Amino acid sequence: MAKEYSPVKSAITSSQVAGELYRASGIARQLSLAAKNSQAVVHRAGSKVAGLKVISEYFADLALKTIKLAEEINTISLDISHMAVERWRQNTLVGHLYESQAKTENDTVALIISSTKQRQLDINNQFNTEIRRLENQLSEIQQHMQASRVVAVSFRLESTQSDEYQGILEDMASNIDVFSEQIKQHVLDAKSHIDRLLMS
Amino acid sequence: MEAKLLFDDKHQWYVFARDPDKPEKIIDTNQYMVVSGKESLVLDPGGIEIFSSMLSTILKFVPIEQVTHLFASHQDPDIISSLGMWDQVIPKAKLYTPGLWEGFIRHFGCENIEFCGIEDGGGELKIGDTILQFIPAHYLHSSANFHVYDPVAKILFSGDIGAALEPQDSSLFIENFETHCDKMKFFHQRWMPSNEAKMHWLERVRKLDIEMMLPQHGRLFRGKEVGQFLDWFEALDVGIALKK
Repeated sequence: MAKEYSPVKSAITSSQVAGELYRASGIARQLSLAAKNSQAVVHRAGSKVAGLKVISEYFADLALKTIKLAEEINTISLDISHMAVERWRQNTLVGHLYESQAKTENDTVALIISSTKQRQLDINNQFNTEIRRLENQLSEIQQHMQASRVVAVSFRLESTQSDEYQGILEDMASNIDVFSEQIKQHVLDAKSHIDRLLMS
Repeated sequence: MEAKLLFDDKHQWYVFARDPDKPEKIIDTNQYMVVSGKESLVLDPGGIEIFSSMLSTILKFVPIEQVTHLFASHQDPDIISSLGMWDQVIPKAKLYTPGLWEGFIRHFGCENIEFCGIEDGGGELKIGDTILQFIPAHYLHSSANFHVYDPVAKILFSGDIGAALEPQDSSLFIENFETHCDKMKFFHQRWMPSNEAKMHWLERVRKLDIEMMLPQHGRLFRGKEVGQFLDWFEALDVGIALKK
């Protein structure tokens, strides 16, 4: 049987994850802009930095993927939040129904308790599936950002081939590195919110 | 849920509205939040049906421990039926609402949050470094009813006053005041019971310096639209159900 997490903590956790990813997607948009700028500079620098063309395209692609993933995670988080609140309401209802039964036994109330508990179980199973999906999506962004930081190092090294544009390209590599690290940090914070829920 | 920053200086005002996940048949509501330092006040946090969307939207801007205060202009379900949920999520928070409604509002569930009843004459509340004023708006429409005025931002949160019934996807701001009046007319004539109460409120509010007026339903008023609304409301006969 799937573990049942506190609906109150679940609602808070999913909202916290949505908040972290909202901030991460804002940074991903900045990353996307930085990637586009680097594409333009690489284009101007011409054949001297031909190796950077592929890398800057990679950054642009990565930024777009990150934005899309962040949006998907936001949607999943909101769904999970709705589920948590629904489960919370069902729990409250079951509590009141038990109180009612304790005062006067009634077959109709017993039937309502039974169907409500089934619904609770269904929502709980769905909740557990979605929270795992959320974890996977977060891991995917995390991997993207780790790759982005590694590639930023190559970008910085390649930029030394261009005397005229070296300074600009190095700055861009630093920006991309910083943005990637910031996004990764928000993802790690989101994951730690989930971990705290799963450990509870 | 759409979120927009309305004022940003040493403190901030946000509006949260137009929730696409809201069940179709419940009335659309505007929620607001004032953030100052490490404290925040959520104004008319809304009904139970929009609780999860509200929580997710708020946490985009402040961490949960900084949601320290709630304000409910009156007792209606679209204003505060989510209280039982907030009570679990922010148990150390304080709720400011008309004291007259205490026994009624507690039916929504208020075991942890501290209930701070506002007396009929109004009062003040400090959020972080920001002082907000509770402006009496009794009988508009509820028998004990308050609005919130921020003298620094020059913003008046006006509850049901200025409300309009509109489609879910309508703009947040008024584009044409004349055509907007049609959307406000029935609401004010039918929900507002007393011309005397209306004149009391107008006298009080005309003394305030207001650059933005924020109702709980419909569109937001900016600049000269505030004065246009006060004139329009003054001329409007309300409490029409008794006159049929």
